[in-house]
Amino acid sequence: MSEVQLIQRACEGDARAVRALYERFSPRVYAVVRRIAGDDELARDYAQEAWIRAIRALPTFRGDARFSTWLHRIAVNSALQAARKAETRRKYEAPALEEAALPPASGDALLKRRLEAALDQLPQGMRQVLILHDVEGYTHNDIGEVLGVTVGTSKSQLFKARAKMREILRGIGEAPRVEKGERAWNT
Amino acid sequence: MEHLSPETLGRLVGDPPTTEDLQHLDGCEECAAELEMLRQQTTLLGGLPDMRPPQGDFESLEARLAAEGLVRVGPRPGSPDVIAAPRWRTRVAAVAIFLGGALSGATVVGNSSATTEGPVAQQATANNAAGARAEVARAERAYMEALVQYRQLATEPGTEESAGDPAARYAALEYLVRAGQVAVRQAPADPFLNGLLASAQAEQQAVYRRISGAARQDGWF
Repeated sequence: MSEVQLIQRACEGDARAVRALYERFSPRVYAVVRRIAGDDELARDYAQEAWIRAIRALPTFRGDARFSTWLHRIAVNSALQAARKAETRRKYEAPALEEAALPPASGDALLKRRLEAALDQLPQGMRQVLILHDVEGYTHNDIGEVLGVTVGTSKSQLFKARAKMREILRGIGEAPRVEKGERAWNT
Repeated sequence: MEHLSPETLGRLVGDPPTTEDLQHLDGCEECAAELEMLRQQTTLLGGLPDMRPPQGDFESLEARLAAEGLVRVGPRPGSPDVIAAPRWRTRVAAVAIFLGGALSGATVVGNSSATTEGPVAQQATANNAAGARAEVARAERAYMEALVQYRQLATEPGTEESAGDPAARYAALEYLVRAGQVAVRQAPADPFLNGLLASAQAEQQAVYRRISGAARQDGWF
């Protein structure tokens, strides 16, 4: 069944069509909301909320953009909004002390896992900009639009986030490549 | 020598360097190396894979969608099957195994009373919950006895089923699939674990098809 037919049937409440859309697009949706959430449990809630919103809004999908792009934008907006609420709640709660434990892995998978773990440790603002720009390929204009910040702020956050990621990755397990001299950001 | 700031290096990953930046990078191996590491990091970030959502998430989503009236989860007119949800398949598989197991056990035993008056073939007569529960318990006991006998006979050398009991194999594969799902949740990008899980799921479905196909051929399912 084509994507257009699936969307049409999902609009009519066909559970099989909704499931087919879910199976096709959920890895993409889950990946972006998981990275924005920085936490597995939150990610499940964010992902479900994103899908609920998308299915509710399905009748408004006109096909001007690709469905995957449309859905991705809903997922990002939904996750960002949920993250803002969660951040507000967190301010009134005790800080979490646990650190991400990394199960043994090797090679490329280990590197990617380290990257994911480092992303989770970034401050929320930096993480969101870095994910949207470097992982999802958003422009600074797009980021400004979805986060409600200026292009300058987006750029500034991105540059800091890249440096912070590098610092976290060193701490997670990568041996420092530069051994000579003192660097301002190593202290 | 004053090094480039981390933010400057972060900017140089994608933006063109100024003349001052270039002059510094030409003369500072550390900053050049650090910039190269940042570029590699950015390239890797851009290639991070999608992630499979945890098992069972669709079922809870579907329940919410149904509660809001956004999807119909009941049978549609003229539609033989409606929801291809894993829970639905699991229930069907369980029924198929139950029926298939009882049928196979009864057939292998070769006892005519078992085939004609077996517990599964009997019409349910209970008209209250306690009676129905007792019928289920009787059927379960009879099924287990038939299954034990079937396993004993099926594993004898030279029999067609000596390669293994499909019901037991299905259950073992179910265990493997669950373990695989946990493992993949731990390491979503691991190709070996993903391959193992996919193979186990495919084999489990194949076993299920064989079980239900055999039962269908005999008019049981």
